[in-house]
Amino acid sequence: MTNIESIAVLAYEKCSEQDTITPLEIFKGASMVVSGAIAPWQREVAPSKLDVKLVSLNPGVVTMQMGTQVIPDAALDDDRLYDVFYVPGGVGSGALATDDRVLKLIRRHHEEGKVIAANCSGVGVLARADILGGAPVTCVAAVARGLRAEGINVPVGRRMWIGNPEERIWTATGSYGVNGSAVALVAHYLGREVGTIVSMMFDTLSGIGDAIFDEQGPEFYQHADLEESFQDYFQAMLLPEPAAA
Amino acid sequence: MPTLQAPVRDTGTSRARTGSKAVTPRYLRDVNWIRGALQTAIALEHSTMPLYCAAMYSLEVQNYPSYNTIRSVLMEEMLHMAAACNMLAALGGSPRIKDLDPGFPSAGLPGKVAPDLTAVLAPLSPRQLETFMRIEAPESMLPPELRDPAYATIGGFYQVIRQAVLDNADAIRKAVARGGPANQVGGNLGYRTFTPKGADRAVEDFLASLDMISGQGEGAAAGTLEAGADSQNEISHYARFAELRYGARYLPPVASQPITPETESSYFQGEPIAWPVVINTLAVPGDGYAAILELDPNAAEVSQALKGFDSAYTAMMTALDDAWNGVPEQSWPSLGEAVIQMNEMRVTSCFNIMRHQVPEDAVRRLEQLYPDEYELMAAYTNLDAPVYYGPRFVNFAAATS
Repeated sequence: MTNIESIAVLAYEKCSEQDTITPLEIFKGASMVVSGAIAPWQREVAPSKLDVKLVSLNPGVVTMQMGTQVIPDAALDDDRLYDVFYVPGGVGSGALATDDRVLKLIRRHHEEGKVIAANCSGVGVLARADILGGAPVTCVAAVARGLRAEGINVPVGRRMWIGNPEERIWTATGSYGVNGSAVALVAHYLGREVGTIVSMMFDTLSGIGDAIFDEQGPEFYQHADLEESFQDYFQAMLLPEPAAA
Repeated sequence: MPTLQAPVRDTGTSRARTGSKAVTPRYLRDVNWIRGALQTAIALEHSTMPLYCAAMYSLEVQNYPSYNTIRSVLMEEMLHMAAACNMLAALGGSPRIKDLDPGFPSAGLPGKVAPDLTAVLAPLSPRQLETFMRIEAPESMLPPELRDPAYATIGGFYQVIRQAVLDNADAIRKAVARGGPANQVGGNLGYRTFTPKGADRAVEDFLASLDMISGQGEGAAAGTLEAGADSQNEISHYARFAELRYGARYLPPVASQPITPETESSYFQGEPIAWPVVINTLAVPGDGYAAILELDPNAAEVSQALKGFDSAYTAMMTALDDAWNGVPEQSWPSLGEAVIQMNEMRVTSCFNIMRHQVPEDAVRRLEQLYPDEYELMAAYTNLDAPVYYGPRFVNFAAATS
């Protein structure tokens, strides 16, 4: 069992609004449920604390990819580890994937037994941190081809999310799958009751049903020609070639 | 391509109800829920102990039968708390002990158990014994109007955990096989707590432990006040407190008759138990005597005594937390440290706090100082006799967390 008492969602320049704020809101909602602040029925489970923070690389405002500006809850402290470290996608993920500090922090979290999660092109950052191994992951279509080319196991017929509790890695597709994947992560680590309450708060259970209790989300449609066009267009931005050794 | 269309869920019929109050639906009670409910059980067991301690400390002589009776219940409450901690640890959880804070006076007990109850730290009295009997009551001994809440009794709360263990048998076995970071504590104490004997037997071990807790508290089954063969048919906590309330040992009537609230007194016709000399401590108000201390010229000395007790209580809770969550090699010494602090609490309470009389002027002004709590304080303390301070059980670690 992995005890989850803290979650950090990483905000960085040109991260995606949806990819970042959606999981943050879902995790903060989960925090309210486990604390007892939200209880649609009398719960037997003892209230507990779940510290959820939007963290940035440095203090100050972060400008997201569509121009929305946010003030994170905290700046990253390299000595502070979170039980879940979440890397959202966004057009800034390509630059993020070259940030040694971030890559080291991801590796350190993983080595210390923490859960690493990412969505969309944020999965490319995990790939650059070299923590994915050979286990299957999912991601946004735009970087799927590039990741496969680098030996990352992105099964064709991408899943909305792929949870890998043994390796403590959770990956998700782009924005459409972010809600379901974040709720699934909550349900897996905080239990069926919390997952159900959170999924009802955000209508996820009504949308995709009991799939939220599975380690793999529903399979996405494939549009091979369209995906290739978008890979051609976005790949250099979202998943630039790794720097030469 | 799987459909994204969800089946229709009949929330009207699947919504679990216990009594008339909606609680967590049964189908949502998974292993995570069991872990969380066990943490509530830890808080529940712990919440009884300050109440029983405050009454026990109020006895001037420590080898009274009444002292030994309360102490025997306290010992088993500690074992119940230990069993709940060990069950949680066996499932991979980490018992949270150091920040437990029942917060007296309390409306009901943790987990919204016995919500009709007002629990207040007070000296031993017939009224307080009735409170203790209410805490330990089996549902069959409650008047009908108190049976309605979801968890009218502690046993009712454990019964729901028991059902969840049965419903999640495979997951329980897997979780026990995986284990977790917290220690198992107390298996070598010479008392029964909970010691997992392996994943294959995990469900049976859990059920036995849950049944032991309920049996020792309320009786092994409806219609009996005895704890069952596994507990050598000792009488339940409820019956032990009833002995003190009736002033006579448990002795079931020769002519068998069902035990009910109406026939209960006929079960306590054994050897008389003398009422002990009790130090008339003042039932502790929510502010921990702060308003009274404002009027006490001896406030500095009294506060020091009260804080000394609270420091020992805090240290005990921290040591217990360390016993379960610290490095395994230090588990036994941590438990030993907790026992040392328990003794410190008793000594500080009996030989320091309770030697300090509450100023008579402050007693006369209690209704003015505590308009909302005066009735409660007057019910649990004889305000016509000299009144003394009692232990407050403030957990400084909880206050700062």
